[in-house]
Amino acid sequence: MMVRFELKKVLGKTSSKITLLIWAGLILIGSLLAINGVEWTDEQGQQQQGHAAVMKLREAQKQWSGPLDEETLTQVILENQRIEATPEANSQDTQQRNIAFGWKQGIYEIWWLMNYAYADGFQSMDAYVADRVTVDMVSQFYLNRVKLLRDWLYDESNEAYSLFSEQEKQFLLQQYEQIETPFQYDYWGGWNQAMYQSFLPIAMGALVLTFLVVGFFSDEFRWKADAIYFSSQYGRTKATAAKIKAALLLITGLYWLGIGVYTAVILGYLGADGGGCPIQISIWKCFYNWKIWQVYLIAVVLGYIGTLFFVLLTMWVSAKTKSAVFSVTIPFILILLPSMLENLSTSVDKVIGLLPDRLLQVTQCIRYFDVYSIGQKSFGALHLLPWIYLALIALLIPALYLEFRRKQIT
Amino acid sequence: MELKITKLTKTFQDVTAVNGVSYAMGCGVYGLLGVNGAGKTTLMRMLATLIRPTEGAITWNGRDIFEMDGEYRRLLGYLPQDFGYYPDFTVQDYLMYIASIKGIRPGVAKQRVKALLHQVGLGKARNKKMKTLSGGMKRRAGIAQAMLNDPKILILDEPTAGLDPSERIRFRNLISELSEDRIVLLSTHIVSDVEYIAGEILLMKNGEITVSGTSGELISSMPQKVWRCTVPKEKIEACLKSFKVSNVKTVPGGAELRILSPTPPRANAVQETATLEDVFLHYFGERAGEDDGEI
Repeated sequence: MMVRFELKKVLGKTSSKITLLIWAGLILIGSLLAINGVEWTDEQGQQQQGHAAVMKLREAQKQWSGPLDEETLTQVILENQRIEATPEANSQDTQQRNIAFGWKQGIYEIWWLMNYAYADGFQSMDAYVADRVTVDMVSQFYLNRVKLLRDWLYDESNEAYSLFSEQEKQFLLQQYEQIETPFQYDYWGGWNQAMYQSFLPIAMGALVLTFLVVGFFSDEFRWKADAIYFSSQYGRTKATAAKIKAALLLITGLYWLGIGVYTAVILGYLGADGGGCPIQISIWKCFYNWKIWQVYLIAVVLGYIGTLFFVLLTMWVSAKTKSAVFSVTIPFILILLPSMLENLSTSVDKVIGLLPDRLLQVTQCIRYFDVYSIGQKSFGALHLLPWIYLALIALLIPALYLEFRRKQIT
Repeated sequence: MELKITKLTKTFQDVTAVNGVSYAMGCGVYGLLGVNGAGKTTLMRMLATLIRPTEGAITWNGRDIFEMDGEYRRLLGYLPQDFGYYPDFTVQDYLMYIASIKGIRPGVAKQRVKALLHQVGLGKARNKKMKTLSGGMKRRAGIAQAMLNDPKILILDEPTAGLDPSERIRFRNLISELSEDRIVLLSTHIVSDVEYIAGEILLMKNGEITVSGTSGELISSMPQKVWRCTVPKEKIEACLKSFKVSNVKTVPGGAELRILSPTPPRANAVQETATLEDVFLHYFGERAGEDDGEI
């Protein structure tokens, strides 16, 4: 009963209705951007979008699906050499080169991985290395991945040499060595787009949802309803618990509804194939040995934890200050904080890796080499972030409750 | 049934809003009378457990109300001076919500809300949004929420503030109706609000209860007499400076003054029967009725 009224209080406001529309708009825009993000270059070198483009790209990449073993890599190299030898690929005319690119679309992602696998150094990037790779080099494809990392970590001229402890270096090497090879490859356009555009429903969504619930506590003061609220039998106990429950219920419902719709639209339209491939077919250097579907799941789960953290922190500040105006700036400050800190000193880099904004952009953070040691064990930031913020959430809930429990109305 | 205040003090930084107040209340209507800033609201907020006292104690039947916590608030109905509400709730929803946080079961609450809406004359407005109600209707919704749990202690802080005379009379009558078998503490700076309905009147000044008693006791204990006299125009100013004047009525050639004085202020002065307003003037002097902020 109390929870229902708390929801009614918040959702009855015009500002909440506008916020809900913005949130729905974010989901819609995110989904549309994602489904229009897949491009196909046709036989005339023209770019196409839409369902037909998706189907063609899917068909082209599906021809190369399966284990990315020496045989497949050899075929990719030969196919690339064949295309690169055509007059179209060597033409000065952009249109002609686009036509050649069109032929390459099936092998493009594997070809791109070769640019990393056969690079001069771990941090080097030469977009034409793959064109110089020969079939006798295929056996080095996975070995190079570990070798380049080892060289990077142990070469004194590299920043990484002093950045990581020996234990952390061993952890990274272990992660690289433990990954199952050969990688599985498949068309994964749906997952790719869902991850690429996830900033809108997750990070922007968190800001919007925070705005929606910021008044759960402070509105009592804004509406001057606090005196009656706190003088009632359950004002300082069950009614406060009902506020927290209502906020969590609202956020949980809206978040998962939004993410559910976003994911279903994208994967439904672009296909859910390729979820079982390792994330390294996209992010070659990634040290987290997760499948693509796992990365997406981790991204949305951590996004949920991040949203909960932002929401609870904002509500706690609003309960403490009795004002929603300052409180609503908290998520913006937390999101902007890392960019302000990283210009200060390199010593804060470790801290930056654990700031709450990371929870909202897992698909970006998975690229970063944020490694932490606790005793004899080392972890990636994404291994630690959920536990840190679940613990903080577990502290914020009673803190929020106690804040209202002890509130004095002067 | 006893609500007892013992040496109650509340200090905000260097301002003492309530200073060593002691008083015991049993069943009945109590009028807390004082100018704005006398400490009435602070005292009431402590009685409503909204703020904790700096010193002293408030007990209900011998138990500390802050230790009783929700158990005490179950007995409490409170209408604050600045009555806030949820603007997008209908009157019905508003009362049902307050009933829920007062621990009233939904089935019982429904019946209680219906009866109270009828009693306060808001039956037809039950589906109107709170933000669309007039000032008087909002106050009536306020008293209805305070009565939802059939409280043993009903605290009404300036309940008639901002109401027009007819609404004020209606409100007074309503409070009278609701005052059976409970403690009603009603604060106001308008004498007529308490004159007819309060059994006991407490005069509060500078955070202290300076005097208390029934209306008759307060009038008879006043160490001043009330005089009516006509004064020429040029003497009015001097009279206003020398005496406490409760009323000035312009008449041809001067003014008829109502003066508080132990002895006749002028030779033509005629003694009048004292009223509670005269008592108020005696204790609060020229500050009576000034709007100098709420403490």
